[in-house]
Amino acid sequence: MINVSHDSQRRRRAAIAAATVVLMGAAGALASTVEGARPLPPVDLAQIAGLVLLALVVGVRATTNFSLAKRDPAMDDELTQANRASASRAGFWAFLLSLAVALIASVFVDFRFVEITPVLIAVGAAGAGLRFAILEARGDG
Amino acid sequence: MAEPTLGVRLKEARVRAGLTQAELAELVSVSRKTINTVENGVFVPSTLLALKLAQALRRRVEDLFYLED
Repeated sequence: MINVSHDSQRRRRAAIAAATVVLMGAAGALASTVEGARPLPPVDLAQIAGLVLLALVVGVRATTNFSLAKRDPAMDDELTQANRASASRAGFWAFLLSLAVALIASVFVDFRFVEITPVLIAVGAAGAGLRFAILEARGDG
Repeated sequence: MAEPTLGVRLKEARVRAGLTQAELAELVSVSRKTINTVENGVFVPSTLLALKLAQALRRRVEDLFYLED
């Protein structure tokens, strides 16, 4: 059995979170240097970043046990794991269906990738978050 | 043929042992929600948890869980 201490696990998770943020920032910065790029106004960028960040937090909380703080292991028992698995499926299908809807809509409406992607991410995260909340609420009482 | 469902006598055994859901949850290292959902038949526990519950309540696992037709 692998025995990983809570501290090293926390450090590893913090490193993963930091690396993800750096990679996303680097990808954005690199994309802005491409010739012919059409940068968005800062207000739109802030809106999109806020929505995607919120969706990522909801998605991570609903589908993984990722946490930077120490948590009671009983709060990550098999019921919660089963609920997370179900929430992941719900999020996946919400994302896939909204992607299909966006694809069909793109035949009739002219919109940019940057306009629709944050919405798709938010729909997927909301689907997962909602499913997780409903399942967890079944245990109350 | 219809799939049999899991019958649960956990609540009965827990009450007889004089334990609350929270106390039993602590004994088997799960949340109270888990005990509640198992008792209500909402959540089917793993073999490991079923065995832990039986051990905590000093019962045989088949006394707590059985197949219903």
